[in-house]
Amino acid sequence: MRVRFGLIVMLAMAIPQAVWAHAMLMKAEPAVGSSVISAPAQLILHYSEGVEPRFTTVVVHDAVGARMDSDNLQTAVGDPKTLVIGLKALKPGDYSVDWHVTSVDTHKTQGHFSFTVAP
Amino acid sequence: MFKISHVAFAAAALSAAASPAFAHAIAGDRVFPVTLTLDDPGVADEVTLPQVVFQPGAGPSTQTQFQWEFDKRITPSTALIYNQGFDILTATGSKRATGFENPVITGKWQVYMNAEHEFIASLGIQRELPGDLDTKAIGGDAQGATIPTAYFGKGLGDLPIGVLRPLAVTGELSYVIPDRPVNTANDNGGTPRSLKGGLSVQYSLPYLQSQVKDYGLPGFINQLVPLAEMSYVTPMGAPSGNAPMQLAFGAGAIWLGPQYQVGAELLIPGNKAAGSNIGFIVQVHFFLDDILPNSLGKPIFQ
Repeated sequence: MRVRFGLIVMLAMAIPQAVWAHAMLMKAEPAVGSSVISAPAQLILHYSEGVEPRFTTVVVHDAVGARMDSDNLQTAVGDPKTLVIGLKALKPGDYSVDWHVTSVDTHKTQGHFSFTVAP
Repeated sequence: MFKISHVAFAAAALSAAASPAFAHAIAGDRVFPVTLTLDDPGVADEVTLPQVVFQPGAGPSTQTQFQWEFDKRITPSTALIYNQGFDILTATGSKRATGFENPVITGKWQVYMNAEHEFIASLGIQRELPGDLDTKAIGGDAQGATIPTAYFGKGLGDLPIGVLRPLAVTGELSYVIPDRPVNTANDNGGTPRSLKGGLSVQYSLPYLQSQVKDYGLPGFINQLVPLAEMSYVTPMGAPSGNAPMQLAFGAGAIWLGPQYQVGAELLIPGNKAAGSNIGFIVQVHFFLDDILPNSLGKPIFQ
């Protein structure tokens, strides 16, 4: 039993295969919880793994719940780990971001954060 | 002379604070990392290899444990888990004792998950298999035990105070039913029924950085989860003085990577029965669902 377990583990580690994982948010522009002076024209999200934009949603709302993104989510050119979505003209105030991401190996992750526009 | 049987008893007491390693879970925005001295609330495909526990006991005894674990999901919400270890028990003036720990096979069912409130609950049955003479020499049981267990995890991401949102608590509660319960005369070689519990309090810097506020900390720091753990065993119905309650604490941090995590904690006895010296535990844990998502890392039945 112990030998069999050891073999399974060794085989698992030895199989040459691309390493994927759950996509975790590593950085956002505007930054998570930040206050920015000028209204950003787009929101950029950097993940730890490549993401599949067809099965991913990112939505930006203002303080009263109006949708403020342009619904044009896409990955950055040549960078499947980075998502870009356009923003409508943001007035001073608080904005919330909700994201649900499917990584290229189909793992799903989600999160939400806010940022503030305060000229 | 310090008899090895005394050391074995101390080892058994200390072992209660450092049971096998377990798996991680996700509920909504929350990633519950693998805690070191208690199980976490979910199911996953994972391997702990290795977990090393070093515990100086009361008196001139020292216990070193090398442990491992394999978690295999059967369906997306159920898993079978295999735990074991190899222990080295040394004491001044006594022959060194070595042996394999009692193997433990756990069937676990994640019964409830609430993503919005970052809550998970699971139920499990652990089956501790009987050990041999070597197992007994290092503080294990010659008989087995059956251990119904309940698990929970709750992230505090719904709190209104931002800096508190990275907090989470997890816990477990078990009732140990030995194959041979100790009799009132305490002369049948049995062990008492007991209530086991554990609790962890975690502060997730990955959660802080990605959900609350990015303070621009270095990447390594942003992947740390400082945590404190508590575990206890309370014998029930044992002859007086036969098996005192044991309480222990762990304090340390987990580095949470995308495919594996590394955790380290100091092990601090909480009462006399749990020892008198501080030990440590180090764990390396691999997430097979991330490393091998199309083979070992996925449930057998989708």
